[in-house]
Amino acid sequence: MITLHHASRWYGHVLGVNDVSCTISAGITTLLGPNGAGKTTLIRLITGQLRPTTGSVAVLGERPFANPRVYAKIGYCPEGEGIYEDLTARQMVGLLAALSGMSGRALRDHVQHVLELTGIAESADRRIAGYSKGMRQRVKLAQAIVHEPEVLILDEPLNGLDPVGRREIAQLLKDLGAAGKCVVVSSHILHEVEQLTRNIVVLHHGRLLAQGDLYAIRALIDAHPHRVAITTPDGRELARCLLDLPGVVSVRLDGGNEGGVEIETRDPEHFYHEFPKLVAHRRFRITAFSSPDNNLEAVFRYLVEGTS
Amino acid sequence: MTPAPHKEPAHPQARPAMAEAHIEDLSYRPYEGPYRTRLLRWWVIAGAWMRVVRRQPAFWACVAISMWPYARAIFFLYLDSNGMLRRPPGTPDVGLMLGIADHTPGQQFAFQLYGALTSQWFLWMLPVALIAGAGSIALDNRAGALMLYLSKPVSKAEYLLGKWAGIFVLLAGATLAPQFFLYGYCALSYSGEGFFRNEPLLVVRMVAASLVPAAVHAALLIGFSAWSRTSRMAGAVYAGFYFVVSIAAQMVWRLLYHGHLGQGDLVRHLHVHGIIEGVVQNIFGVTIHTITGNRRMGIEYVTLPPPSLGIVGGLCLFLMVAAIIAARYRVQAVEVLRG
Repeated sequence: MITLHHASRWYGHVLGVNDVSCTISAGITTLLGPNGAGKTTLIRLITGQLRPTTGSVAVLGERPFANPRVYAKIGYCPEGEGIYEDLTARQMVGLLAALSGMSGRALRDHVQHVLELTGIAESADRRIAGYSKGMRQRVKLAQAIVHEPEVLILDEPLNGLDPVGRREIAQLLKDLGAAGKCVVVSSHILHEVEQLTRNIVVLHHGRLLAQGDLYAIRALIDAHPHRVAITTPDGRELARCLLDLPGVVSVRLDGGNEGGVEIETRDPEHFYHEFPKLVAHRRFRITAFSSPDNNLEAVFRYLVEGTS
Repeated sequence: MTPAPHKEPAHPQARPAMAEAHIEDLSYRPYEGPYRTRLLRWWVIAGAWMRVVRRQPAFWACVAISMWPYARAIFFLYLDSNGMLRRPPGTPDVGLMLGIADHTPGQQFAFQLYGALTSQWFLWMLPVALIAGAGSIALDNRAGALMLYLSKPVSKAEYLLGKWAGIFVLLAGATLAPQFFLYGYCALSYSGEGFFRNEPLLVVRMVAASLVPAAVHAALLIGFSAWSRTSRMAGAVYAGFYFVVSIAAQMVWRLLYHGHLGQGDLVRHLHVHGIIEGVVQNIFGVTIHTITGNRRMGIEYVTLPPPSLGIVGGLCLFLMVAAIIAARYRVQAVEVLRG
């Protein structure tokens, strides 16, 4: 749905995005990167607010820059405020729906439906000036989805929302992704984003670092062996056995009765295959088992550290 | 199988509450209504801006105050019709000299409509224009709403047209309403004295003339507003520009053409209100007679015919186009900073 082909964007001598080529298809994709990585520039290229200096950007097969035909198919939720404080949420969302061509009673019904979906219907007739940050976030999301876009670009959509609100909005985004929409989410709340999708695009210093499935990317990072943490009262015995497994490069023991063993392996697949057999055969008592760096935060950290 | 015996709910309130409860359908439903053609989407922006302005009590208060030149015109027409401003032949025409009545055939009522319109616009409509236009784009700049507007299927030209139209409709309405009122008063009071016969096209001239200041101010205001981040800033800069240039043009006119002020027509009109006044004077086709001067320079009786329509009309168009180009240059979904 979104294709970037060697897209670069310069601001004078400052580089925003550098030679990015990738394809983003239907479903939810998370855009990750530290501050200044080029996420916002990439979003602006996709939403047609900026023209690439070199290369090309296509959304649904068309160039988005200054192209209202494409704008009709894109829903954009910016990070900043971007809303009139004097209007009510209903007026604001209604106005932007009308700009997309909706009209009459159907518009009013649809706006009501979208306000209910985003959980703002009960306060929809109050002026936005009196809204909390979370409520404003919901208004911005409502205006982004009101015109039924094929592509939804959300810049930090979970900012300012309380835990319940985050769960509700995350569920809505999942529903939209499942319905075949292309949802691109830029966020810093990594653990929440991880609940949304495993499909990530990582940017750093304007360059594309990685794109694809989170676990597939993790498996490709050779510089950092996978860590596995095991809690067991049989720590010493288990550690000795684990050292014999192929691919295990280190074993670390924590003291105490409920001692912990942390191993590092370069062959996690083999480890996960052999470990249950070992436990069953030697009758080890395992009380906890986790993989602390097989998550988005660790992958993000390894990728960014690797280029710094 | 026997049905289970009916049991009353443990809490009497439980039943009504359950009856009222409903399961919310929070699945995404598509829009099933019609889609409006893109040709008229600029009107959505105009309508939205007009709603913002119409809600401000200050706007209506200023509109009401701006209408006082019409009350004054009706008062002078009343005095004139009772013969209080007429003098015997051979004596100076007091009404003409004071600029409050003109008995020249063919421009008696055009003079009143012209006088009321230019008086209304020189000072009294300026606050109305500032309320209606200063914040039009500045508020979007401040709220970052341009990013949202321009991410919808609306072009920059449609956005500017919508903003211009919103201001124009408000200002034109505030001008046309009292103009029609004064016209109606004249039509009802003077139909027996050749009102329709002597000035048959007056209503057409009146409508055309009323639209000129609204159009020019709307264009200039979106230009100033686009370059400001607050409506106060836009309003202050515009008001400053309006008055400073106006005072400067008047001073230069009086200094350069002292003793023959009637010849310095172009200089006299070289400011926003002067240009508008020149176009409006051409549309109404009136010649102004007035007294001007001071203690040092003495009194001068001046006849001011309409200035060249080509020049003032050209200046008028230039101002509008320049302001719109300036606004178009500034209006961007995102502000691109150059490194």
